[in-house]
Amino acid sequence: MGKIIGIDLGTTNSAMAVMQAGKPEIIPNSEGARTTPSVVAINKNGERLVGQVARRQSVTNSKNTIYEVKRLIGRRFEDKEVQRDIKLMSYDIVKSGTSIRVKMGDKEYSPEEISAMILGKLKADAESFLGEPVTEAVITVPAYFDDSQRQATKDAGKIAGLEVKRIINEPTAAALAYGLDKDNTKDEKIAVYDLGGGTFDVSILELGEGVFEVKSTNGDTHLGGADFDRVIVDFLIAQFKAEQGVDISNDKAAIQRLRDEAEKAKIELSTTNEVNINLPFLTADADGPKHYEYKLTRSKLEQLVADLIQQTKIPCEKALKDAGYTTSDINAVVLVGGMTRMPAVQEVVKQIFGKEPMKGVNPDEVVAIGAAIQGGVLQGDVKDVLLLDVTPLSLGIETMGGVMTRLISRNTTIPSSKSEVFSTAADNQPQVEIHVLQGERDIAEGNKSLGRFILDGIAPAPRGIPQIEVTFNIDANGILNVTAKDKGTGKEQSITITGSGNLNKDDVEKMAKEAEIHAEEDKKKREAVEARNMLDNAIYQAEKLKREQKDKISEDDAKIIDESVAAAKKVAEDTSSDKDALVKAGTELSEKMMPIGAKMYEAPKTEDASKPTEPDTTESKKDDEPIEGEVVDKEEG
Amino acid sequence: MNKDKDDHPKHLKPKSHKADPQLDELRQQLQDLTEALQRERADSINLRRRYEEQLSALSSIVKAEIIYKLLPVIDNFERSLKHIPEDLADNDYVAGIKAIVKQFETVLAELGVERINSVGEEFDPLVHEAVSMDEGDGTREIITDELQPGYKLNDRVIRHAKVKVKMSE
Repeated sequence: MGKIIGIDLGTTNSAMAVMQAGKPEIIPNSEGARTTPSVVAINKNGERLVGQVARRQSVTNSKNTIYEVKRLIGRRFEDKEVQRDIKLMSYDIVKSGTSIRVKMGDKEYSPEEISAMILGKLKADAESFLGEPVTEAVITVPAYFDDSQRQATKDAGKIAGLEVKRIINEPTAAALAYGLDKDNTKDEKIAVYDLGGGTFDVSILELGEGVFEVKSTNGDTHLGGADFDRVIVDFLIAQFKAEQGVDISNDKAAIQRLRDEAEKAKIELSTTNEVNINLPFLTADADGPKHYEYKLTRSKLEQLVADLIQQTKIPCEKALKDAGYTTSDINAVVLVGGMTRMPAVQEVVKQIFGKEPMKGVNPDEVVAIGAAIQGGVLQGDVKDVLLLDVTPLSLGIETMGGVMTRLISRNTTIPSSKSEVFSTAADNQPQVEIHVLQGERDIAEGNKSLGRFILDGIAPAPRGIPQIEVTFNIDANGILNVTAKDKGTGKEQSITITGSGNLNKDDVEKMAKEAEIHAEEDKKKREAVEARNMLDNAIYQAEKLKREQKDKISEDDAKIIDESVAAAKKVAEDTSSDKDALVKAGTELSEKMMPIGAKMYEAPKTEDASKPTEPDTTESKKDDEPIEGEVVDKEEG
Repeated sequence: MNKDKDDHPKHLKPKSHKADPQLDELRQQLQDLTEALQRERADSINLRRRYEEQLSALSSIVKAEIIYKLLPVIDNFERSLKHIPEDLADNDYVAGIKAIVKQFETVLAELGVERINSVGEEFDPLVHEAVSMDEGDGTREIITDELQPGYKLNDRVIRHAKVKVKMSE
């Protein structure tokens, strides 16, 4: 049996690791590097290049060099992020249905296919390193990745010939790498601070009884080590100009040397207090060659990048707040990403979370190491971890009046499944549409549509009678399957949410924030919708009672019904009616109807089976809407 | 149960199997242990193989690393030669410096270090790193300038040449 390798499929760089004799170990690529740039290209000879070699030729072939494809995977073309990336990326991003294709050579590829090329190289390199075929992998994704992004990542693995045994969250993998799952004696609350090459993520995890839960995530999708390097280079250019009077910002050779030196200095200053930047013959003007010598101190560097480091603070505080914790709750802090080697970054992390961050595992490799450990667990090498993640946003369906009814609320630990019974909104309704939504808004249109399907062939029946059981099932990889089943006919339809639409962390943040902003307004809307549904139902029941019990209703009562129904209809049909008006109308109608209904019951043996179908006098919530099974039994029996 | 029956040699009656539930457990244990041992064996063979490979590669890795660190020095020597003031071109002191540079190059060559050709060559991302690209007529990517020379050690690239590329005939 082959090994399950762990893969950190990153935005800018990817890494992989494997369990060897009980210990995780990084697998170097065929060039001997421990990380591989997530870059793919096709050169003019039609050869496919992946990794460092693709990066080295990118400026000669920018149209056909695909980088940062992780920003596109599992998204829809219309997504705001995609629209922005179209402007930023040097390659062409085109629309295909609702999804995305990128152009490379004379062909178009899905982001999954591009990711598969990166995974394919990693797989091949792992095989030559291990000397055996590799067919199974654990792949990490950001905690904020939604279902379609996870599914698309899984698909990429499949295309590359890898069976993806598990998709796990990057922060969870980092925590695993530090063995934080081992201490089962207490509930750990872990902060994972990930400052990579181009993105910043912070996640709060809770570990209880060997189970990891992602409590919250936050971050900045465009902040990373590259920004730090740029700040240093800009400073050095300005400094050189002030000292020598020569502007080298257009001198490619000089800039190149300065950039290499700046990165080297940044790295060295994590362990020393000053470095000597010594660049003889950096440039030349009419007066002859110009040399550059400058002593860059750690404190100067820290001063230069202070703003950038500060920018990570607010996301951390938000994440803490969203998780419902304070600084003192955090038991452990894990660092991910090369930038976290900077002492000033560690200092800020310590300030925010009130704990010395854990060190020891290379922050560039920690995620891949964790993925390998998870691979080992799945393989049976390491036995004592149970891994669970949570849904980043709530999942549900659209119900009558355009409200979202949640089946699985956000931060639910997966795998999870939940069923609820719904019914029809009109008499003889032949079909129902199941519109799957993701998000925190009460109003359906404020949420993200994941997909929709129709369950038809519902036997003719009065509204509220058919029982449609809707089941949401999310597997351990976060892949969502929604099934609707007509309990009367046994007919069912389902949908698996695959790479259609998408959300990145920005969107998750945005949606949570929007839900907060619109909470009051949504609540009003939802209450109005509910009140209207209730009134609507009361009218329906009143009319039905009158129609079906014609013989038992006195003329006076019939008149009362007609008048009350007319009054109620007036309110119901007026779209500007607010909740109070609707409730009032509903209550009035019920009050008028109650004595009439009571007479029916007093009368010997009624056949009124429909009465209890919808409790129309209570403030029933959508959740209570499912029709009790006994009602149907009565009707059928 | 039926399946278990089929797995048994004929002389072992299913009944005797049924009567000993421990056997299943032991069989499972044996299988688990065998698998675990096989995996450990494979791991240790692979580790040994890689250890041997690494050991033989170690000296060239160390060599490559040291040379890589020294390359900026040779870079700057070369730069200094490009900037010799005209009035000093024939100066003996400058001649001496030139000799030192030459010596350095000889030592590198003896160590197996080879300079990567670039200017005038077709761009090859296996050995070159493009820093800029100029438009031009033609379909060939030709290197027009070298910002930093590249070096190989025994056919392995230790530093890629940083180059400017132009589309040419």
